[in-house]
Amino acid sequence: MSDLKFISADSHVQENDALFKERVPAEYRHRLPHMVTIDGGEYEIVEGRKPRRFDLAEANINEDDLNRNFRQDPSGGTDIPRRLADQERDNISAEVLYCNSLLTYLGSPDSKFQMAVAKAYNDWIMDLFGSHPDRFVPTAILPTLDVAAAVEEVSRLSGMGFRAVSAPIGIKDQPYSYPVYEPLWSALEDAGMVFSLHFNTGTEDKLPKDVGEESYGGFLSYMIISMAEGIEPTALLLSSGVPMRHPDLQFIIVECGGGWLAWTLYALDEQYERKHMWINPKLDMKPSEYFKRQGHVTFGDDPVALTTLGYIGDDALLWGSDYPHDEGTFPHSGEVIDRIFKGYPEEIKRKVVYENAARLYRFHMS
Amino acid sequence: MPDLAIISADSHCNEPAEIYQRLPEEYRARAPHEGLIDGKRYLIYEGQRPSPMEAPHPLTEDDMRRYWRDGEELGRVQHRAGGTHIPTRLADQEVDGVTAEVVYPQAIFKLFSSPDPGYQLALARLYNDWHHEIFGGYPDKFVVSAQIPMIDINDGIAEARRAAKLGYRSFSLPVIMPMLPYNMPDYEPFWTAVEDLGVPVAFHVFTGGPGAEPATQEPYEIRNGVDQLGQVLGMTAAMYPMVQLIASGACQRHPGLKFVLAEAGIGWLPWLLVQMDDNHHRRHMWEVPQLELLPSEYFKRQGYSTFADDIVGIMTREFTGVDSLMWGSDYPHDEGTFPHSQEVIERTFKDVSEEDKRKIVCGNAARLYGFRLN
Repeated sequence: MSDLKFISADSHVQENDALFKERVPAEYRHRLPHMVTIDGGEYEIVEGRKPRRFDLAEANINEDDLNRNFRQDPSGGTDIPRRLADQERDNISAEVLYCNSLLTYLGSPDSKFQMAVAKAYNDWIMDLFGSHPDRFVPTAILPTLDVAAAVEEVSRLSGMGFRAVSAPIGIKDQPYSYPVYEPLWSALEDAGMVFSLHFNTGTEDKLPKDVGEESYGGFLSYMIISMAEGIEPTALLLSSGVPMRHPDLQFIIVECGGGWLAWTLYALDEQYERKHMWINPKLDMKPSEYFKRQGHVTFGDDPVALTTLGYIGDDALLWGSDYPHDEGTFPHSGEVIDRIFKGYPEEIKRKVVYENAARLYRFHMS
Repeated sequence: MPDLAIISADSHCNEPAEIYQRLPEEYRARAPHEGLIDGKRYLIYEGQRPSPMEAPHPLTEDDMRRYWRDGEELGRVQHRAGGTHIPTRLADQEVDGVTAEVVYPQAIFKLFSSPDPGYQLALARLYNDWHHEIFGGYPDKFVVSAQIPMIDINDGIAEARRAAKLGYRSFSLPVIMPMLPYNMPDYEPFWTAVEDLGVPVAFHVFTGGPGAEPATQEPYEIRNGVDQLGQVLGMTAAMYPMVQLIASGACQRHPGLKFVLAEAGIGWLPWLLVQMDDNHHRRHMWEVPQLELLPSEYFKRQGYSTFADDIVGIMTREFTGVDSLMWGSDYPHDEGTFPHSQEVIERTFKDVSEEDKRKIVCGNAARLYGFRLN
């Protein structure tokens, strides 16, 4: 095995009191995601979402699980030497960072609340990680409900040195195919910032209605249906011609895996041809060609994506550990990568676990 | 290859508007119909926004083969006699090299979006009676799918039992039920009933229950990729019933229950199965009910999915196995393969063994639906 290190294009940081109790404006603090006890159960309350029960899993945690979800790291991944030691253990040289408790808060219908919290988070995360640009790319939270405010924030973020923004993966009443977003695409293109859509950040709650997670397989449904949510913005952006009009806009679907991508691109190309009489706008290239030029996805443990490289190319795939989540690969990333790349050329592996991320996020390559 | 029987596991007919005259009077005006909005023709379905009938771009000669033409009149979906004139239909299948078909409806599918249980049941019964009259006499050529309303589960059970007596070998259920997802225990008596009847249930794409909104609500006039999007995103809706039936343990409790995802494509299946198994392992601490088998094993045992032109799913069949995959032409729709099915099949199965190909284009459907083939 070579001395190849990995870049995790999908990792997380837990927000702490310095953010929630000091930086978020006082008027909004009581509306942040928080835990409450209802009938003896511990529930997370997030504005715009159903209460989600958290304590049931505790009884089923094993030794391996204790490594993850910051169960033994009271700093929640903000203690940088400790974090770097964990990444060393997992053979990771750099990470693209996303939030944790704030992943779902964009379900709130209040765009002012969304933006006030996002700005506080963006200042906080850059202060913490900004001085290690070769180890960390913090991703700014970008609420997109109010497009004019989003454009303004992109300009501020660009001046602060951000290289990527994380927007809701789905907005129910204002999908990314709408013309209202044109100024945002231009602003991101000009700023050279990656437009990132992370698993479980949509405005729509994918927990089955009226179902506690404790029953009826609700949790497994929720995880899988939320991953499938990555297909929608991919199809919306490609079929509405956003990458055609904005050739320098780069976008990425994060933590949804990659095995759905070949099918999605093939189906979009095929429908574009067969239903030609119904389709506007006319595109200059096939939907799949725009994706190959401007789209990306991250996956953790998804052998299916690699079997379809003929349809997606080898520039679009980025690997991510999802540190420190239970569904991620930490601390076994090396084993997972060895297993899924078995039989593939070293060159492909190097691109997917390192070079594609280094290029997209402008990490200095050693 | 000409001796290879081919079964289309996903075809359609289009119900003539006259049949709605058989409805009780209170429902007649609400049945699917054409309407004019700002001088343009739309299809009007209860519980949905109007759907335009006139395409913004000209049709090619090839498209015309799938369309019905009468002078200046051109129907979008009304293929010839709506696919209900049996000699015409059989001649088309002969041209396309198709031996037998599983036939789903067209407009009647939209009954599922109405919020009114009485209306749903009246349309379902009407369709199930009429369809049987037209197609019932050709059991080795056609398996027709009965419409089973699920908004009132007891109605659903009663209609399923009635349809089974008429000889139906497939039940169509709404693909998603936003008000009450299929993982809820309310459906247990229904799964028990269909398991006893031994009839597979089908979740055909674009058949959502009340409240199932399309992905984009922008006016059709803006059309930012609406049609292409609708097709692709509509196919992904089939993931919901699949995940809900497996994750809730319905498949575990009802091993005789068979389900078909119709027109859903298959290229996403390997990814979904791998991710379900992966989450079953990694997020074990959250899983209730605990599944005895891997999620993918329930699908392989009880699930099926149909596709028309989807080489990605064929390339990745190592993850799905070949016993759950069924080809279907989607005749007579624009997005389907008619009249080029042979070309598509040849191209798609170029590198596939004769044995696997035979299962996917014929054997699996013959076994599931009990077609007798020569």
